[in-house]
Amino acid sequence: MKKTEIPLSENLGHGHLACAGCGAAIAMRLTLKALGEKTVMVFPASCWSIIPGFWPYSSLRITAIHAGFVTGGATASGVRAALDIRGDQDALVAVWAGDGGTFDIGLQSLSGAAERNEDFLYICNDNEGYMNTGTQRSSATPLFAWTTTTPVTQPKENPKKDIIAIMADHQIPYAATATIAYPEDFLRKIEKAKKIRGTRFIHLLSPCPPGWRIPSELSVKISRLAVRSRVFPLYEIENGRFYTLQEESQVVPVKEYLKLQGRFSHLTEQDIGETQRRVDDAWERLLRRARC
Amino acid sequence: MPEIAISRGHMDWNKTGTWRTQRPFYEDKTAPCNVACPAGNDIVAFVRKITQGDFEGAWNLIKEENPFPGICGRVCFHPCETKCNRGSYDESIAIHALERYVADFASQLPKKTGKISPQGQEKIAIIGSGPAGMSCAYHLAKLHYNVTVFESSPLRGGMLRMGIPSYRLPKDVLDREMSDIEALGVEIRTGVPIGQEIKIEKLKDYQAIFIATGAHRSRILNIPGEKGKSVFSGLDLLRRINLDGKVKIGKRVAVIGGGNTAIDVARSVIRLGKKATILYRRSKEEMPAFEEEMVEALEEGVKIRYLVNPLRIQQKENLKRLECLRMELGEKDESGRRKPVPIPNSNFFINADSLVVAAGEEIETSFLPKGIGKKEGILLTQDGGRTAIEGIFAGGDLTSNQRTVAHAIGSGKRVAMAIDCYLKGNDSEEAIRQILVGNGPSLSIFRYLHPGERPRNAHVVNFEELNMDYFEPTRRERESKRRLKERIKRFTEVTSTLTENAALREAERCFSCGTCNECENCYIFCPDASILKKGEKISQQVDYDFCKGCGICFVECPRRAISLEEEAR
Amino acid sequence: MKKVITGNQAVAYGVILSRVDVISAYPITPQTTIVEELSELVASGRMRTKFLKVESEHSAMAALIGASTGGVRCFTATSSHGLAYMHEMLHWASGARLPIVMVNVNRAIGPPWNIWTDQSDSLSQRDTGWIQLYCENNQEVLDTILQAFRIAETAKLPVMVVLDAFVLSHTSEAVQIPTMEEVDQFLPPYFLEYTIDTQEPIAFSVITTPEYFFEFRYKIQKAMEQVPEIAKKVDDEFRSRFGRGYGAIERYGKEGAEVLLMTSGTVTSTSRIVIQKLVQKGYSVAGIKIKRFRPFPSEEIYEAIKGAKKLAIIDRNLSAGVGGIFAQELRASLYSREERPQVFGFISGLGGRDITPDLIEEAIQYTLNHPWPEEEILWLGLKK
Repeated sequence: MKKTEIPLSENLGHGHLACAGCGAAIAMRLTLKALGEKTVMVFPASCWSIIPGFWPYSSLRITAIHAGFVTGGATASGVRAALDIRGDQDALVAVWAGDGGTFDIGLQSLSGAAERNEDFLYICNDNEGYMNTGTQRSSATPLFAWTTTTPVTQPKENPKKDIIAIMADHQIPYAATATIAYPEDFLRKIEKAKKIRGTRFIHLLSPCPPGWRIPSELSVKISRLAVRSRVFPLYEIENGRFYTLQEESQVVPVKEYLKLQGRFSHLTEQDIGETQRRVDDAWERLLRRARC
Repeated sequence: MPEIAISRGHMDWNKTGTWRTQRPFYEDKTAPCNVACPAGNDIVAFVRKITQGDFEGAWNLIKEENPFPGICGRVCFHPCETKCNRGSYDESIAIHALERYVADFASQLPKKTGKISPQGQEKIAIIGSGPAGMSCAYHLAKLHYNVTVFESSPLRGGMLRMGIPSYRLPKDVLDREMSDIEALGVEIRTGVPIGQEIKIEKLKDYQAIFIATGAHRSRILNIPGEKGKSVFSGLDLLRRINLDGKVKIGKRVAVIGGGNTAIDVARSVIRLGKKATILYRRSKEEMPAFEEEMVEALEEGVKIRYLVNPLRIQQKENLKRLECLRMELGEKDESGRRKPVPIPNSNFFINADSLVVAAGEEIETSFLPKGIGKKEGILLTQDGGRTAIEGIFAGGDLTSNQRTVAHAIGSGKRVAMAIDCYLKGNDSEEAIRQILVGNGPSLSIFRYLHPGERPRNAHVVNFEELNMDYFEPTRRERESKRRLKERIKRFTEVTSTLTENAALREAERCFSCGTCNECENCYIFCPDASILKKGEKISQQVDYDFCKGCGICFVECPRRAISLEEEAR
Repeated sequence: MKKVITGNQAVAYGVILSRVDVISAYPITPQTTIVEELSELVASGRMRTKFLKVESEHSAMAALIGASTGGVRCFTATSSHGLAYMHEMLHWASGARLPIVMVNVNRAIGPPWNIWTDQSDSLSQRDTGWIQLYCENNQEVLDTILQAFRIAETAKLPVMVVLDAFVLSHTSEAVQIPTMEEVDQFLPPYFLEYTIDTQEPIAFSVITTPEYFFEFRYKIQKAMEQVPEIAKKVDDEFRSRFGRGYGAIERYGKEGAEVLLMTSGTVTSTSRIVIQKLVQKGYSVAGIKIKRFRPFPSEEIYEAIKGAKKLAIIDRNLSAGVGGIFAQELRASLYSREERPQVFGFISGLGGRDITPDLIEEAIQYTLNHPWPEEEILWLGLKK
């Protein structure tokens, strides 16, 4: 593997309260290295309302504004307006929201902001469930997955909401998927997004050891399998229309991804087959959308 | 207390290290290539130097253990490549080609090594200037001993010169590496056969003697007609070609045997403009000659006939007629190979102008002092090469049936350490046990001289322990070969050295099993910023105050350079 | 300069004159003309303001919380359902001690849908930690907005300025509009102690354990307790500069009257006329206009009701199960006092029902003729 050029500053810091092996902590650490200190990050309610620490401490070395669950897009819009009024063009306004605060309860405020093309970099840290409150299902939870509100006797009945398609259709300048196992790719996308004005959306897949029922050491490996199995393909969409699809050279069957996770351990062969079929289908759709 | 809940303080006080149930730590482990190298090269380390563009550094590393990289890079049977973990992924690393590249690069550097002054009065005699003898001389000189090498033939090199043709090992490469050893202050007295002019018993001036005379006697088949005209021994023939450059030999030559000598003879014969056919009594799979040699031989027009056993040699005027019996494979013998069994009444005849017997080598023992101890064709030695006679050591082909250049080089090194222990009154068996790499055969004199430095866990990293997610299948670099028409006309070298770019590309393919090569995966993926850097480099320090023991660094290290142990509470 | 303008237009003037930096609002009847007016002004470039046309009221307040943290002056306006939707964020604004000013046009909350005057919307937010100021006429609306920013920025608490739907919002009255220079003298630029500064990063609204949360809430109560004094200072200064002042309450009518009628909002205007008439007829009655509802002006009221035996209070709101909210707060403020006049709690005018002079007189007459109220809640003008 090539050595990545990553800045040395540790803006996430240590001593924070993330679980051992937390995928989001890896992502946040890399993100804040790339974004640097002139960042104002809005944190609607999520694991990250807790992880940086309790008052009067915060392991974050950037300006952080904790906000209501619903309000990622709206709060960031306000912050940007204030900074513009103050004439501060250097500071970057970012949002770090979970899948709850993006796909579900926060969708309205995000959609409103995106429609207005508000100038912020929005990162959805998707761990596929309401993990902060103890692993309840969200609309980002994949089909058949176990959560505390979709127990094994009645696992999640609906497929994952396609948030990137929704965001791209707002015609925002930049939308992309990313995950922790591909740090160079992730950092490249952050760097690219940094330079664009308007609403930029990054959908980040972050494995959660307690929520996905995986051992803490497999977070990176599993996020890699998510990409290789095409469950979570990596791509970028510019201005809602121009797709850059990153082809994976070593594609694996979905089973390789599912079998490592406790939240899928109850799946039957039929379920796995169904999942594979849907993944293939979604890939085809993505290819078609990418071409037109 | 402020009016609102704003935080300025950091979380440094919260030592999340207390959460751990397992703890990661950096620990270099042993790579399979390192274990397999009989000469004891630290392959992982020198290949890494190549990736850094530090070719001189790579050469210096090799030279710590092995004075003959240019030779090994050309003629070694590279067991390292067989054990290379990359072989389980796509193709093993072309280690020999990299070793050769480094040696050839270094040949252009201005000479730096000067004479090493001996400390103390001890003098050591070495009999034989082949790879074992010279390797021992090299290491002893570096240990500040006074070394004299006695070589019976007029030229240095032993089997390297006599037995290996120049199209495999050019004489200038051989001379260069020999001269480098001489330049350290080793005295080589050529044309001095021990046992005739000087009896071993008379070498009283020397505090220790190392006999490394090798195995130069051709084994005889013991079939009728073997002693006739135009029947040569393979070793003899090669010696003549290597010393004189030419030899008188018939147009059609039959070579009996299946080892490298047989191949070397056949290919030399081709270059002399004649035809060559090899007759081997077992099948292709059992043939002990190196694979590449066989391939090249066939390309050059050598014919090989398998499962053929010669019965008698008849002379008919100027022609030789060889009566042979066809063989088939029966049960396995002690070497694990299936024994050839004659097929009755399958006699047939082969005509040839000259015959060469290249069916193995044997040691010469007539000059050896009484009581030295030998058994089944080799001298008996105790660990480190000590013979039954105090002060006399033996090694190389004399003491082993594994007759390769690399084993000889390793043997010479081992004896050098044994002699050093002997003269200092230390336990050589213990010392050598300490420096074994894995389960051997590799031995490291660096570890002998600098105990505790460059520590490595003896665990040998196997393929299952590596993380293949960080690699893509890539082609192995190939050394180019001369065109066939060119090759067979002369004895110039057949393969070429890799280019710099090819060497860099090939070195990049190395997994660096068990040794951290600063790929920084651990640093990138640590959620708690607990993999520390010193400036821009990985420091191999873990911040145990904050490390939560998630184990991601362990899993994502492609080369298993990080270990995980239970946290003691 | 004097102009004949609607209540909503007066709001717009108040906002321009206060040099608001960021507005974020969502339209709802009858606040819409505020938003429209401000959009025009911002688009024309007369205001150097950012107007975020958010997609909901909740987002409106969230955006302002973001902006106010960024150290700029913020404003929004809403009504009824919009205010209710913002509820979570109202708590957040006061908890974060942000001096946001919001105009709420009092409108009933459905179902059934009803767009007319009713105080239930603003009063049902009484526990959110916002200062609440009620207005009787359009002049007061404009003036109160100017005062509101001063009060908010001094106390570090958000302020809600309330006016009646349609009766004020869409009705034109003559209003004296001060000049920008005059207002600049009165209202200095906004300064926030803890704000966004990338050179000195801090984290805002960090999760706080039981060990410290209590003290943060204590500080809010303390800040509220400072408000009467702050508001008085601001009002006095305003009076001396502009010739107009309002106080926390205003007493009018007969000195030492036996019966006092307490009202808020436009009902007060009607009440003034009724009481004047009754005083002329010889009744011992007076009126109290309550301007500031939160923090409840207990001291000022207690002073003003000295000597009165009965208090009649008209609530244009309902907290089902309890009755009128002003009445409830009044009773609570009197509980620990030595003198406790009888409180007659009247409810009228919900959902925009006209509170006519006849109804007001009926309330006063009832109070005069009864030693105590026969019911917990006295319903004025209820159809049989």
